[in-house]
Amino acid sequence: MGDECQQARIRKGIFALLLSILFLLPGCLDGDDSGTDGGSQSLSGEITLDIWHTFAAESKEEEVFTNAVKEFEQNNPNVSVEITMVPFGNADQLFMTAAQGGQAPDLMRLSSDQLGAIGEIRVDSLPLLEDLRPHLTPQDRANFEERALEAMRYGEALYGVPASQDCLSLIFNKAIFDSQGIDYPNEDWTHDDLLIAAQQLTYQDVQGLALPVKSAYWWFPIQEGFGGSLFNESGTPTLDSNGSGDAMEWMLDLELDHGVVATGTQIEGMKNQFISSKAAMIIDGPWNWATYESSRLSIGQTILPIVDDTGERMSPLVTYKGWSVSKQSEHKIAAADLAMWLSSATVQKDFALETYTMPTHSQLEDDEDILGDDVIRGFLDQTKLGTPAPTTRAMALVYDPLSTAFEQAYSGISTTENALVLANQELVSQMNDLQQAAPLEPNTGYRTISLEFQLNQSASNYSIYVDGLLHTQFIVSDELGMMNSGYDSCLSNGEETNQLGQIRVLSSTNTNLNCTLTGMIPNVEHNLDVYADGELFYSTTGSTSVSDQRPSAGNTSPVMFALGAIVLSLIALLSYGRWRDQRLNRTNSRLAHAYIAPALLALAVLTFYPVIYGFWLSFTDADQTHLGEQSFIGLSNFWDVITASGFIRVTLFTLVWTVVNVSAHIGIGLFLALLLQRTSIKGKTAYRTLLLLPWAVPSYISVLVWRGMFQPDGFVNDLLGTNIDFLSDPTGAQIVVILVNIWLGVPFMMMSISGALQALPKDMYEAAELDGVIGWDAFRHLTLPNLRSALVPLTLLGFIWTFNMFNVIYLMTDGGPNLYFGEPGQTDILITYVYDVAFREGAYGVAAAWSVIIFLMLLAFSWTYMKQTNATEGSS
Amino acid sequence: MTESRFMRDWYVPVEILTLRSWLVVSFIVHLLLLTVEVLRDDSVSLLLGFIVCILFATLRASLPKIHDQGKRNISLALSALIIGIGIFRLVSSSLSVFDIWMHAWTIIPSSISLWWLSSRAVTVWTSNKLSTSAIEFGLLRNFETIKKHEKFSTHLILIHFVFITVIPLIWISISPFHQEMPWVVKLGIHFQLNISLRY
Repeated sequence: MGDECQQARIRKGIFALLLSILFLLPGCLDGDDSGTDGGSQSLSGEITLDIWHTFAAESKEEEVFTNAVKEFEQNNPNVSVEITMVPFGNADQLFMTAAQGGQAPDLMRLSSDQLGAIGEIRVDSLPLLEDLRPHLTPQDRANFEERALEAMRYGEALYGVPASQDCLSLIFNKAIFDSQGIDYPNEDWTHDDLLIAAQQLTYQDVQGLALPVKSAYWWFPIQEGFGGSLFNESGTPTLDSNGSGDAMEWMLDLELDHGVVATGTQIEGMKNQFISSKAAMIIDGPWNWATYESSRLSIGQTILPIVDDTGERMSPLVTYKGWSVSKQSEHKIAAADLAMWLSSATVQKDFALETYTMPTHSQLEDDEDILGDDVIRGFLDQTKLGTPAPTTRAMALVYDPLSTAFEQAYSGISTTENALVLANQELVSQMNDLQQAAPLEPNTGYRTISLEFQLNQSASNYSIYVDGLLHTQFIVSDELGMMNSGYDSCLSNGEETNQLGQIRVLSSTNTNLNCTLTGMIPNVEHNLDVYADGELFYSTTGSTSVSDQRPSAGNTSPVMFALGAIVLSLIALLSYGRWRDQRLNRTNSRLAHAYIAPALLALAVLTFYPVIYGFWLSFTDADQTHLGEQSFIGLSNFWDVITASGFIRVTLFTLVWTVVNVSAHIGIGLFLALLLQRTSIKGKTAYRTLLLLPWAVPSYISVLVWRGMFQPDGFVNDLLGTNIDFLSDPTGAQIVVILVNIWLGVPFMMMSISGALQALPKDMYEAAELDGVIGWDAFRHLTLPNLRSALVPLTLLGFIWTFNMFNVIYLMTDGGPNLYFGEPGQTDILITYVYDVAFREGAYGVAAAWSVIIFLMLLAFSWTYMKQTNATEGSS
Repeated sequence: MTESRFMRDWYVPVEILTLRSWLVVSFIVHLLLLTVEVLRDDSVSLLLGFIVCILFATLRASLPKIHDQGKRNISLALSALIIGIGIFRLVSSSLSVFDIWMHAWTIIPSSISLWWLSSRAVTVWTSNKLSTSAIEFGLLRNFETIKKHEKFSTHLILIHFVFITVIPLIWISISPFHQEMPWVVKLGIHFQLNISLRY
């Protein structure tokens, strides 16, 4: 008997050992599958490309784009393209998240200012985007306007192929001008003319101008007109440069002083105002022209006016949108080809003529069809007067400090000058705090072949042909040309040659040439021919076998080890529990612990492990610039959190938010449940159904509807007969988000309490009624004490849920208005601020520390609450 | 004698009982509605709203007791005064649906007060010595009527909550028109469109 027991124990021990090896084995396997994939780089073989675009759903742009993709697929039968639409507003954030998770698309539509936000981020020490310089030949590059191509560069790297450009311009409703007998705007207009016309055109319910007065993007041209600039020549922020404060004041006064702009006008609102002929003029881009035309408006366009005081014309920021290839793409050559096709003259022309998208292709500069269209020509004139947005990290960061500056000036807590000085300081501080990614090692030889030959001293020009196609041109000239722009390299006599456009300039004294030819296909033999003055001068072949660099899919060993350790711990814990229970005669079941093992395992893997990992992250310097390479830094993150400006304020508002919401949920829920409990009421089912509607509608839709209702032109103002921008006022916004969350949370409490009320014995009330205990007394002495067992857990649950309620605030106000630099917004609660820290600032370690503090707060509250109320104890 | 006196002291007409709670609700609603006047930045309406609040509180405090003819007369006068102010505010408002609803909270409760305070049951209760049989009849009447009042007030409260609950759904269904016209018109157009599409 004793032997059998011993054998059984040995068998179980072996089984446990095997199980643990099974779980630990994957962790020991080398998870490195970092891509040096040359085989799939060519265009041969079946290829599927994922592409993310940002055109509006079911728009003309999307249609033109889809047709262009279909045409590419027809021309490349081995390539199929899977299209996904992502919203333009947070496309860069979505791409970064996907790329950090190893799920980036092959091709992505990004704007030049978004490249600045992405450029510094690394996965596995590699950037998120492919440097397209080796992919494009000089002839490819020559197809694009030089400043458009430059706008797609971050540092030296070329992160996109420009496909379009756009900027703001002045659009006007001819019918409103005609009705008031005012001349249409023209290029001679000054900003005073604009204001006078806007005042004359503000009558009844029509506003003279539609403009989001608190939006930095709309302020940029006005700042330029007043003599200011965003950055100086060295790239240092100059948000408070001369004239910038006046520009901001002039813009805000359009609403606050002159009343020519409707209160609280935002981007979507101004579009609606213009479409419904409630605004005579709008400062908007070409992207909305088709929408305005389809609204049967008679509209015109002209360039932005000149500022009288400076004589400078308002100069809008020109942003370029193009196609970027992901560093993770397995099919970079095919992706680059698709990017080139989508940026080709054919596709750009279709876009321009069908959707008023401004082209960047140099062949279209003189295109008759393009120039024949007044609208496109007008907007192209405006882009020529615009200022290209710098593709820098500073440009990507500029919007947040400016947003706070606008809120401060708008709400009157600071002058425009002071607000801009503070915004500038904040931006400089943010730039200083930025973690710079380590410089990249070039992947020498990838898609490039080195060609070296001696020059013929009598020739005046040279051309290199690759496989019969013109690749690089050289002229011998005493003109110096421009410094090499860093797209590729051509050394002559050991020095980099200069350029005139994309043509290389050689000196008559040069004797040899050593060029790195870009755009080669790996593992393909290319014919390289050099012509001097049109005569074949030198011929050779060349190939490259250097393969692509791709970030590894992530080393899963630590994760597998952690999971293995969890499983082992569970086995040990359950074995100990079983041994102890048997010893103390707590159970006779041999398999009791095995039954709970699956649930424990699921909890451990899905809940405990992420929580523990979050705890670990809070002690590291995890950051989006070096994800996966974090190191232990002790309690530094916690110190940052506790000393963060605004920590006390956001914590206090979180408490107010939670207490008010939970009190209202319980109070109103209980009140409604008591009303519906009355037997004499008819239509109880109908009432219950209707009162449950907030639950039937997805909460994000309800919240967005409420946000619309609280806009200055929304339902609430319509109903009250007011014109208040509730969400711009700090107190108003706080009240509004609390009210909306109360609206969302009452049905759950009402239903839960209804259930508890129905369980109360009726004879108790009948007996009490005989003793004269009715109404309020019955509620206080019978209902409330008997509901306690339901109300206490509900309150606790409500507290935890509301404390961590993210979507209401995120969707209603996004934490705003932001009145203080570098601090949480006025409606931010802890959980929404953590989101900002993690996904906007990219500081994962600090965000994890915030999360741990939130967890500890909730733990302390729950513990105290349960202790005080004996919530989990049965009545004795 | 003692029993009949006890009954007399105990009996209060249902009108007074209901008014005691309803006037408190009216007072609270008016306090809340003062925020609308603050948002509208209309100092005259705010002042009138504040006066109405005080009048409702005074009316509640001056509801008559048994054999208290004087308080009844004061309550009647206060009710009439509140009706007058309510009508004045309604007429001087923009007569939007919200304004009508808001001023209904002034006019209807005060009108009910006036109606009930001048009713036979209250008049007799405040002026004459009631017989035991009259009190018995009154108690029976109270027992039946108070349920109706409770039902009415419950429905009234629930309808208000239901309206607040369905507001976003109404708005989302009419929002395409929200730039062009007042919301009532939009609602009409919306359903008109729905009907025309269906038939």
